[in-house]
Amino acid sequence: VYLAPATTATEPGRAAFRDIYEQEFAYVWRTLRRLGVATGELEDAVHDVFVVVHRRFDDFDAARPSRPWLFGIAYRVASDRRRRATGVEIPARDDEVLAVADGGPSPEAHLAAAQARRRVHRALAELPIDQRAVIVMHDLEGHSAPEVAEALGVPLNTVYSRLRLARVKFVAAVRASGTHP
Amino acid sequence: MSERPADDLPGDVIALLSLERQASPPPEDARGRVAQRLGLTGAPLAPATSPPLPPWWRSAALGAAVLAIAGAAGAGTWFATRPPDVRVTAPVEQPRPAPAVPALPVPPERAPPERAPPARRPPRPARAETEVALLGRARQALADEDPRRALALLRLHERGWPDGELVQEREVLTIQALVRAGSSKAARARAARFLALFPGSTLADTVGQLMRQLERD
Repeated sequence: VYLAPATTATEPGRAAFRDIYEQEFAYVWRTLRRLGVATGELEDAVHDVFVVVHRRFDDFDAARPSRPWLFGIAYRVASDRRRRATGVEIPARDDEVLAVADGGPSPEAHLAAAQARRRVHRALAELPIDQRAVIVMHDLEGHSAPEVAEALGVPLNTVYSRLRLARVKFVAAVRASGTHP
Repeated sequence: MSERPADDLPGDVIALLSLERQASPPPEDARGRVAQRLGLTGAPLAPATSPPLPPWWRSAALGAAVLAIAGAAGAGTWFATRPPDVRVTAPVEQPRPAPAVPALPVPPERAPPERAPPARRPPRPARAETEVALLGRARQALADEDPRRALALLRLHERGWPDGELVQEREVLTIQALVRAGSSKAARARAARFLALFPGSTLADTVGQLMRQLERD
């Protein structure tokens, strides 16, 4: 389909989209990673999320938090990729899990933190994506249950029951990963 | 259940989650690469390459927030020139699945006059291809003056994502491909259905203009 020419661009809207990209790129990136998108596909998946963001930007109420809205889109993109993937999910690469910000703790603590993160990712990978999503959104990102319900398009009670089930499985998976480093 | 995150979890698991929250940020070069694909770098943003279009189509496209879907290989840009308007006071409409568009028969397309269709393999969905990538390939087929291939790819999208996030974009691409293939009657039917299904769409103006032009032809 043809592109609108540059003369039709309105700078405020363009700036708003650019702003949300700049501010939330990292959030979308880590959300997709935690939802199981393989490292080598992360850039494509982030791109797809922002394509949909652009498509639906008219639905976005700038007076409300953007992250639940973004999470919902990222969840659908990750689910779509998961449905279409034919191979086994590839967990985050060790070097990515090992990466930490500069100025971090000692090498021993660094290694322990990396191992802990690897356990989290492996445990998340054991969960169905709908349960994984509530753990990521609620327990990792700190969104409220109503925000989770809104993002995932499910009733609030479903969020609570799904979170309860997800936590049981997640804890079991973490324990199992601790016995099999 | 309390709203505080992770309060029902054992202490050691909470500690693990806390470490995960401190994970490193994504690489800056990735941020730049994706921005480039979205057309967010540089100004003004250059439109993606597009085949020559008849003047009436060009005018129909003006003012529309249409799409430039980046292909699977990253060619082209999505966010081109017309940004969305931020609606601050309107009621929030949460992300939702688009309505599935019922199948509409598409007649066999005629080859464009004075141009033999290039011999190409029938399109197939790439493994784990996303709807963005598939529509990107359809758009590229249009850019390559191959509306039949574009229609074949769009049918794949229709089968794979009947209620996809980009169903409206698929429909507009389909109308355009039908026009290019010389199937005016099917294009009109498709355009009418689009306007009936998505009267409030940001693409409705474009489709409406296209439909009026088709009626005049």
